[in-house]
Amino acid sequence: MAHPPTKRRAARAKRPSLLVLNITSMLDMFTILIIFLLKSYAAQGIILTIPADLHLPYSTTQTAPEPGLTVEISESALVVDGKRLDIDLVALKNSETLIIDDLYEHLMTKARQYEEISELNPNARFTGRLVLEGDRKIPFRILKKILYTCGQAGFINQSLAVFQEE
Amino acid sequence: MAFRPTRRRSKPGYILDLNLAPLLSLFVALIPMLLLTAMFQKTGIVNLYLPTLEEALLQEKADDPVLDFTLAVTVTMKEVSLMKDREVLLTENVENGLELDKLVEKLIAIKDEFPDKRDAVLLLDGDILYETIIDIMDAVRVKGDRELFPDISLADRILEEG
Repeated sequence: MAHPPTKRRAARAKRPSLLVLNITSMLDMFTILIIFLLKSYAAQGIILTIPADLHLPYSTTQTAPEPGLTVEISESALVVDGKRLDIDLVALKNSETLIIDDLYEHLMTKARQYEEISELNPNARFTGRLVLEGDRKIPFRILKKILYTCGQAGFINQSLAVFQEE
Repeated sequence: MAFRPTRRRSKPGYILDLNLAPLLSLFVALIPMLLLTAMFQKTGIVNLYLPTLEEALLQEKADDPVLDFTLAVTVTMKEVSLMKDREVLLTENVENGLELDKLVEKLIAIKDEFPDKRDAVLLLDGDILYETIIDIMDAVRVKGDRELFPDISLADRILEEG
């Protein structure tokens, strides 16, 4: 007579052969995530990249950003088109002159580059477009000097970058 | 004797198991893609208005004398005032926080009177913060869906007085 099957073997025989994971709840979660992400989907791409330490002010504006030369003013540094300029903002705040020489020279170089490009390619016309990304805590004293310098260098089409209020 | 329970009831019911695995694979591909393109903080721009020399000359010889006035909002740390040329229309104390409701009301009244007027000047103190400038520009620019004075220029208050 054959031995009766061991308890373990008997238990194994009862177990279903196919292990089915219940993924329904995970799919619920994913569906919610997808809907949320689709809502915040931006088809036009990111034109302005705002550094993490730069806190833009909030505004009710609906105007979408347009590409142009970016000037970032944080509380400690001045960055033009990704290049950090060696300008002391504290000294700048206290100085009496309106024009910032280093910034002016850098902007003139940029303006010349844009003009050279527009000579070669009539479609890329130099419009003097400038987007100013300023920290919400910078005073007008600094802002006006930067705007003035940009204007003098030929960037007269100025706009201020803000966060849109929902 | 009681009836025996029917066989139908004791039969195991069919469990309809949808195969959700392909859907899951799709979601796993979609979510990282959407996460990369998602913009959690929408950025916008506020355009500054710089009158060009030609425009300034044109304005001096403006045919429409009705619109030939300067609408200015003077902002200091203590107060915000609305001026039409040299005449002060409204002054509001802002030492305890920015309250612009009355200013907006007055701006709407002016817009009703001169619907074609589009430009305004902000005369600012050097200590005014950028976020305050944006707040005041918002108040002057639009009210709800109505456009008030969208062509805003910034100027220095001290220079104006000097």
